[in-house]
Amino acid sequence: MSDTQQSADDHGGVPVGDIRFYQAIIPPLPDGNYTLRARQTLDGLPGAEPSPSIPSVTLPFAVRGPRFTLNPADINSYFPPPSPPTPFEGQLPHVVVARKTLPWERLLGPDLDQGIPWLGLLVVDEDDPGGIPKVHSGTVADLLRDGGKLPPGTIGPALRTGDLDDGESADDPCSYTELPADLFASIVPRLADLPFLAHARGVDTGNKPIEGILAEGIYSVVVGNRVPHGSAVNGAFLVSLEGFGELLAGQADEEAAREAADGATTIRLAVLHSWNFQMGGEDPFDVLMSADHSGLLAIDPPAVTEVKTGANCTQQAITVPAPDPSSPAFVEETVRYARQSGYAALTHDFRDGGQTFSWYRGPVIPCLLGLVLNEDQSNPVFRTADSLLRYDPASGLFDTGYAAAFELGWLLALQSEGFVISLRSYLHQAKTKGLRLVNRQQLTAGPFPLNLPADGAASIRNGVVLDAVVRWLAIPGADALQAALGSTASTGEVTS
Amino acid sequence: MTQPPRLSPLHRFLSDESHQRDLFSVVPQPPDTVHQWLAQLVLLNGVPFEYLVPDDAMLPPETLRFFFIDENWIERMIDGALSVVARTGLDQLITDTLRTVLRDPVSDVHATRVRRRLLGEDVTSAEPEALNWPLTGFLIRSVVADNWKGIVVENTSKNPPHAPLTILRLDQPARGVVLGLFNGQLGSVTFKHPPESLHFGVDGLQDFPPTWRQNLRYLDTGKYYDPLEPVCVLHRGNRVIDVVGTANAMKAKLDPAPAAFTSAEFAIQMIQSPKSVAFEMMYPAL
Repeated sequence: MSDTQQSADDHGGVPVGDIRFYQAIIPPLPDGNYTLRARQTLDGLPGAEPSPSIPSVTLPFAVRGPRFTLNPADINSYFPPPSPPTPFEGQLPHVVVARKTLPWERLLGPDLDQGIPWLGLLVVDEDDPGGIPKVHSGTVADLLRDGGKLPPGTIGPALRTGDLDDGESADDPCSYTELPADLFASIVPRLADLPFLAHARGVDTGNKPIEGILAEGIYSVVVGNRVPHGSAVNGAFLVSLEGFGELLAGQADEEAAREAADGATTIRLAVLHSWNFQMGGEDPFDVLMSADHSGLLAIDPPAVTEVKTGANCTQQAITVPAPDPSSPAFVEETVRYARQSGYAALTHDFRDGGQTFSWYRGPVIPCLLGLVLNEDQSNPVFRTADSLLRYDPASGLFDTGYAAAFELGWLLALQSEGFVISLRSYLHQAKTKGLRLVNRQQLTAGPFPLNLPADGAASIRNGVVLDAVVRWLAIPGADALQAALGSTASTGEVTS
Repeated sequence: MTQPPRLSPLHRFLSDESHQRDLFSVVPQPPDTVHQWLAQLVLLNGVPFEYLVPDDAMLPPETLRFFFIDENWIERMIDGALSVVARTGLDQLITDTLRTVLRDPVSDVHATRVRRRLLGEDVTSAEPEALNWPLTGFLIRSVVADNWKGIVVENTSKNPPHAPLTILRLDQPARGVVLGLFNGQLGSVTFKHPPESLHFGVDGLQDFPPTWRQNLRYLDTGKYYDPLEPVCVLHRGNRVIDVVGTANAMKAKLDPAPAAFTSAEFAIQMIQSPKSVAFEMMYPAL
């Protein structure tokens, strides 16, 4: 493990199993409005006094990023999970964001360092005064000081309409919540705490499910500063602290913050993400990974002792193992064997309207099965799904697995226009080339289809056949062609 | 008297097996799209989940199941896919004749590249890897799948030298389900909490809250001090951690003293060790 302050364009490359921690990944420009001014002067041009003036260029632009709302897709994961209750007592909640610069993209306040994250993760529980606050849907105007929507005694961030960036509007939808001012002062991170409550992590992505992957493997993490209540329901709120600098700054003792709140009793905050959770129960990871929750993929998986998997099916078993039909327990045995080797009994509709149940087994099976070839080691060729239906006379049941595979392959191909078109045009190409090959071989190999002289190839080179064709075109009819060939063939015999 | 079926010259020509090889010499390689599509099929991408797990009893909630892939099933599915273009006997004959050029590159080269391509890796420069039948894998149906999206799955091969097998697939084919598919027979699989979502925590809750503490770790290796070196986690009441105070206390106790103590160092100290569970595979003696 190591740590550095990473520049925004550096890339991961973390060894497997390692985590790289970054204190902050600060984008080159914080979000906001900018103006680019270009001025050019030209001096010392002979014969041009005074220097010609070149008009300057002004180009306003804005760096935009999430401010009052966050795209849910940017949230990679959060902890603790909302359900079921997890036994992580003493663990701090966090949000993992699939945007490595997010916590440092905005300034908390105009004069504050960019290294201070503008996001905070607040934890409120049922037993707190007012309980877990509701999250309201509203607009940005509900938060702004001059939005006219703040009830008396409620304050929001120190932001006004004029503080909105280009492209943002007071009518933009956003979610917000309200906390009692005293509670807010006692749980909100102090300004000096904030830099410790956000960091970025670089991890190796080679061994992870595709869905959990950010190609670059660097995530930003915002951590809460309050240990959740052990028995009550907790609410976690990822909030924007932009514009709350004055309420946080003086917080060495909480009195100062109360003063900054200027008599307000309620604080209104933009909520970018929130969820409720509860502590207790068992860790689902432990449950899942315990021995009695693992086995082979089958109904009634074969009894496995000690360790978690095994394969005690016969190799090369291609049909449902059929126990002795004379056995009194024939039915039970058949079912048991089939289920243990990965078969499921499914309803089977026949074309004629009849219905039965048949065995089906998919491509994922609980036993080792090699590729079954023909006796001469060639690949078996199947051209219809029906040719793959297997019938077991002993039990009177069909095995439909391979027929279903054929049918599914056919259906999936039909769904994929690109595949069918490519394959068809390739086949057409192969046919054309093949035909050309046949024609060439026929012309050079004789005696098919025309009864050419034995050294037909030589005749072609000598132009004899061409002559014959020309004549045939002039005098239609096979006899004429024969005649022509007979009369001009000098090196071979014409047979009839 | 029944007439023998009238066959086209090409059909008659290819019916002679010795001529089939001649066809290869004149036919170009199939387009990449065909191979890549078939590679997806071999990896069961696009196969509805019900075809994999036909009965919920095979994969009840909160279970982990290991499996082999039935190569015959995959072959028959490819047969079916290629049959879409076989409208005539000649089409079928050509498709059969070209079997080796249509199918072999899929399992020799393309199937093992699907995941790497998804991960954005440059696959053309990499050494081609052939499918190593029988393939094995696992399915998980659990809340873990959604709660720990980035779950880490490490593996070793059954066969010496037990090097990790190439991961062919590791994704969520359905909600709450993780599918892992490996190029060969698994020797062991280890599941780990995703490192990006390892959480912060404090130890010593039993005598909550006066002695919350956290054992110090070395900053370079991440290992705990030996013997353990606990540092008190300070709080400001109401279960709220005094972050700056705690960070300063940690910094003061670290030996050697770090040049800087930022959120990165703080994270190393506060993070909880990842859980991991390993499964050893047992195969019957053949």
